Formats: sequence, structure tokens, C-alpha cells
Amino acid sequence: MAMPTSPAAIALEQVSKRYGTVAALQRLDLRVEAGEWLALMGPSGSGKTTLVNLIGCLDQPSEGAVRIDGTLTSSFSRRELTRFRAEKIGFIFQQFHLVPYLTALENVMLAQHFHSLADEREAAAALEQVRLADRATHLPAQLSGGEQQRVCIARALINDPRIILADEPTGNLDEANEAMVMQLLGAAHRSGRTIVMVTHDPAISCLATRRIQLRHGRIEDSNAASLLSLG
Amino acid sequence: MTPRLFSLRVALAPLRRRKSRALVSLTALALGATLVTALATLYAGVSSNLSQQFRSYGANLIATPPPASSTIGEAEAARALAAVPSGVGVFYDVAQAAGQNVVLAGADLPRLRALNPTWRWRPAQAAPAGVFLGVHAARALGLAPGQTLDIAIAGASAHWRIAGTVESGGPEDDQVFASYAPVAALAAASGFTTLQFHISGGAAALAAGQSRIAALLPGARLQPVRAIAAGEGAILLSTRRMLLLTSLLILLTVGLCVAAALTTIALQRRPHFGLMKALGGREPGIMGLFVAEAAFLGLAAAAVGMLAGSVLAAAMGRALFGLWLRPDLPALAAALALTVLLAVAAALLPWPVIRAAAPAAMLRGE
Repeated sequence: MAMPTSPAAIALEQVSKRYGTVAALQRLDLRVEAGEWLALMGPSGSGKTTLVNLIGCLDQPSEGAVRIDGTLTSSFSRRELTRFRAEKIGFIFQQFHLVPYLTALENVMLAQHFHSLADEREAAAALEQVRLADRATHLPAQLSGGEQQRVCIARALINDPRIILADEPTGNLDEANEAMVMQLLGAAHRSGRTIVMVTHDPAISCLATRRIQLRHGRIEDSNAASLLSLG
Repeated sequence: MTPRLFSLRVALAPLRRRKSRALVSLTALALGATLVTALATLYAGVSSNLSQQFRSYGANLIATPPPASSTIGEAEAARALAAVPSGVGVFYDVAQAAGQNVVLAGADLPRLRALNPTWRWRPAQAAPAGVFLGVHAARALGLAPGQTLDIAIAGASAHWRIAGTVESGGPEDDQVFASYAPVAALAAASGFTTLQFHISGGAAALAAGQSRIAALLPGARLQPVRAIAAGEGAILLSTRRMLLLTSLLILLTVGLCVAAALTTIALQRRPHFGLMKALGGREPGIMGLFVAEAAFLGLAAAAVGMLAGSVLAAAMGRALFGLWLRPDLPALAAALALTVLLAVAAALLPWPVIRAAAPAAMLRGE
């Protein structure tokens, strides 16, 4: 197979991550092209969240190199990682992780604030896109799980990141909300964003363009040819 | 929206929407602000009114001659001093010594000393009838105990041996004191410029004594005067120290309480700090939000405390000193500044909590 010439959206080379004596990831190689939608699957403790944290610049590998959009992030300082994260990555969490004392609108504006400037109109427009215009002034506790996840999606997309990391985005949702969230992720993918999504649900994973299975910190199975061994 | 404006909005949000969680800190800070306001107002009010209080308790009284006369006659003075023994008559004149004008005071010196126990007579065991120079006068004249004072009034002169010095901390330090008889002889005058009394027993006794003296000195002007300055100063100093120490203890207690409350809040918010970091927030910015929130808490508490403290000070002033104390601007400013500073300082203590909030771990719920 020929090596792609353009920089990958995400490239991990011989990446290992250890927590004390526990190896969460072992010499893992992964390449995700720009615009790809990757589903990460695997049992609990297989290293899915660790992998997402490394891609999302929330953590650093014990060994190996992580490149995001062609930039070697594994050598970044904590401060550089924070800046890079704000610029390039949007996060969607299973537990939503909204700030409980801020309204839906303010939660979206918070991401803008840490990126550049909070813009109330832009944030309101983002909430409108996820069909929550009428809930903008509600606190997270006043929103349903599905609505909270949509706020989370609006927050993830507000700074126009190139990469979306979704850690079991439908894990806490009913079917109707699950469909709506996947619809929104689909729209984000169609607009050219790269998506890495952790899921346990095979049906949800089918919406991705590629699936990989992790086990014991290694990639056990991949259904796509773009998985490369770069080591 | 500017970053500063949005930061203020975020900092105010928990105070507006989670009032119950901020209540412990708010209560502690408001209590501190109340007590500091009350103590500072009391101090300011009591300090400015303490002289009045001393007069009503201590009873010093000065009698001066009727407007048409320059002295109170010796016979009248003797009657008044017999009626109120804790008093002394003093004759003042301006004399010349060493080419300078100096105020010469003639009095029964033992009585003068008894009346003013806080004055420092040096040497302490000096003969009570000698000539004593006020410390400033001694310096100005270049004279010391043991030397001779050459003094003159209107052509008449005398040469007196200086027995010692006297220091009162007041205008007496510029005067020369001698026994009444030689001074009156030198000035070729008789009578007293003032009669000074010390009437114990409170305001009522003072009023009674004043009436008695007024009857014996018809036409003389009677005025209550500044009480024992040194004693008053010592009490003021003690009051100041006590209030300062009490305020510090209150602030320390409140500070510990607020620091504990804010640290608990910070620990509860670790996931939020982790989330903010995940969203690209830097530690100083996140810390700034927390500190701004505490500053607003301090402002709110100070507003409550200044109001409550002013009411408390008025009540305490009335109950303890019989004074109506109005809100004191410097006291309010001090309470405001200290409360906000305390809140900000307490909010800085959980810095390690914010620093340690690793986004990955926080988002995993660890």
C-alpha cells in the first residue's frame, strides 16, 4: 500500500501509555485521514478513552509520537497542549460535562471564551442549529439528557474545530435523542470534520466510515485499509 | 463580548444561581465585615468623644477672672480653694529671661503637683518650693537645674536657683513655675489668673462643685477643661490596641472559615475546572474566574456587613458609652477593603486544587 502524501488528521506512531505498571496502550500505530469518521470499539479497559485523551491532547504518551493535523503534539508543553486543544479539537462526552451553574448559552460561550472571544449571537445560532434556541437560558439541570448532549455538541462545534472526539455520545440517551445526536454528528462529518467516536453500540458504529477494535491496549481488528503500521 | 465582561458573567453565575452553596462563605464574610465595621466605627466614635467622656467622669474645672478684671483676688481664691481643696490658684505673667519672653507661673507648687500627677517633675525629689522650668523653656533658655535663672518683669528682676524641670506634654512645657509669693512680688501684682480644680465623682459632682465655686467667685468664668491628657492617651492607645487585636482575631477566624468553605467549593468543582482546561482554559484564567467569584462574594458580604456593623456600632456606642455613633466613612472603607481582600486571599488557597485538576482524569470522573 502506498503511503499517503498529505498529512493525516491524526497519526499515532508506536504510541504507548502506561499508568504505573499498567499498560493502557502498547506500541499503537494509527492514522486517521482528514474527513474520516472513525468508530473506536472494544471492551472496558481496552484503552479507548486513553486513546481519545491522547488524540485530544488531554494527556501525553509514555512513548511514541502523536501528530494532529501534521503537528507533533507529543512534545508539547502543557500550555501548548491547552492552546492546541482549544484550536483544533471539539469534545463530546457521554456524561455531557456541562457547567451546572451556567445556562446552555453560557456553556457554549465558555468554549468561545477559552478559544478567543465569547459571542452571544454566534452561540445562540449554534444552539439553534441543534434545535435548542428556546432552551438557551435554561440551566443543565432543567434540560433532558438529549438536550444536554445537544448543548455539548453545539459547544464542541462552536469554534469550528477540525477534529471532533466523541466518547460514547449516545451512551446515556434514549432512541429518539440518540438518532438526533447521530444526525448532528453526521452533519458535522459531511461538513468535512474528522470524527473519532468511542462506542459500544455496533449499530452506531456502522455510521462511521471505519471501525477499529481495541483490546488490551492494541488494535485487534480494523475494517479499513487506511490503518497503517508506521513503526 | 469582551473576555473581561464574560469572565464577570461567569464569576457572578454561581452566586446568582447557587446561592445556598455560597451561603456559608457569605455568612462568615458578612459576620467579619459586621464586626470589623462595628469595631472600627466604635473606635473612631469613641476616640473623638472620649475627651467629653473624661470630662463627665473626671471633673477638671478652670475658673478665670470676670471680664473686667485680670485676676481673681487672693481672698476670694482662698475661699474657693477652701471649699474645694483639690485645686490650685495660678498667677501668670510674661517675663524676660535670657533675652526671651517666657510665661512665668506662680502657684502653690505642692498643690499644683498634686493636681497634675501625670506631669513629670525632675528630679522627682526636688524641693517642692523651688523654681522649675518647663522642658521646652529650659531648652530655649539654655538652662539646667542647679543654674540660676535671671528673670525680669517690667524692670524688676530676680535671680532664682533652678530646682528642676517639669514635663506635661502640653503648653506648660514652655513655662517657668515658681511659688506664688515671689512671682507676685516680682510682678508687683496679687491674685490669680486662674483657679484650677479637680472635682471627682462624675458629672453631677462636677456640676455641684461648679455651682459652689460660682457662688464663691461671683462673675468668674468657670469652664470644664481637657481631662488628664496622658491618661486619656493611654486609654486611647489601649482601646486602639484592643480593637486592632480583636479585629485581627475576627479576620483570622473568618479567613479560616472562608478558606475552608472555598476550598470545599473548589474541590466540588474539580470536574468543572478539568472541563474548562479541556476546553482550552489556562490555569490563571480559570483561577481568575474563581477569585473574581470570591471578590463578588466579598463585595456582597461587605455590603451586608457595613450596614449591620453600622447598626451594631450605634447600639454598642449607645449602650457602652452613651454615644450616638454615625457610620464612619474610613471605617466602612476599611471593612470593605478587608472583606474583599480576605475573600480573594481565601480564594487563592485552593490554587493547588485547580492546578491538580487534570482534564483527562476529571472527565473520567476520578
